[in-house]
Amino acid sequence: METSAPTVALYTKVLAGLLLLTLLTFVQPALYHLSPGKTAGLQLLIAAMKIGLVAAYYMHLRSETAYLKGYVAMALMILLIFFVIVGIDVVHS
Amino acid sequence: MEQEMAYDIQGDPHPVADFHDDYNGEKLGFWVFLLTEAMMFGALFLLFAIYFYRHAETFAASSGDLNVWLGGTNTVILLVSTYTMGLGTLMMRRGKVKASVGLLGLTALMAVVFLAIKAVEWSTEIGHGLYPGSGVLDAMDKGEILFFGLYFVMTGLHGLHVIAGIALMSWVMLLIRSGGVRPEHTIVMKNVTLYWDFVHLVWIVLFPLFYMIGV
Repeated sequence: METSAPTVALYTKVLAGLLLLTLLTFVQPALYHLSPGKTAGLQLLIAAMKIGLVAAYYMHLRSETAYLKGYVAMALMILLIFFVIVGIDVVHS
Repeated sequence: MEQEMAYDIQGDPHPVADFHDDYNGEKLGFWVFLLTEAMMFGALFLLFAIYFYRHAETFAASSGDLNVWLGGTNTVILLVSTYTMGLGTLMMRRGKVKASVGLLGLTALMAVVFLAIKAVEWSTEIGHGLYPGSGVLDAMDKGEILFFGLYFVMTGLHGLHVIAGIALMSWVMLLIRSGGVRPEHTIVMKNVTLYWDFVHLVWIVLFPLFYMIGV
């Protein structure tokens, strides 16, 4: 059950944060000229911050029950395990 | 047999007469659906990661062939549409039905613009012969074939989700009209908002992977 109600001001602040991170996404290659692998890593780091903001505030995960948060965390863990196991296999094959 | 209880948005218990007014149950069920979607897109991202690891330089060169301005415009459109969708649900819960419908309509309009831009992008790439199975692409390096194959499959699947989102928003508008969605009963609209947020989340990952690695 949600414990705090969202407000227009909160939604707008989150939008501003997301727009700033989007701007950072666009200017990152000009700021740091990196290899494709490092560029992808840095871009995904910015993407992870954006995902965190959307999930926490727009999808209200921040104020959801521990049960639902645990459920989402479990699904993401399973996905991460897939990535790690396949990643190890790909690197060593 | 013990009476099964459901809890409304304020946390007040109600005996379950049927399953049409179980706010938390309907929300949890929708989250389960979203997590299955995350698994599906997750598998595609994993596939991308494997081939990117093996063909990093070619993927970056192929990424340079995409129009970053069109992709970037779509990124901003989807971001703002998530905001208007969330506000629409908020307005409905506050009893401002007219404002809610307006914001919902604006969100659907932005989704249509997103698809129109995507169509322009795709037609340009197809016009250059850059589509799976084309002679031009088949003559290219294996990494380029894989990059454009993944690009069309992943952005195409995402585009199908955008189309489904527009259909769902239209359905919510009809429900508002018929009273199926009203200020004291917003679960369907809330779930459609969650769906739209998820569609945005997928694009947040798709955009840098396809458009930014070659800038």
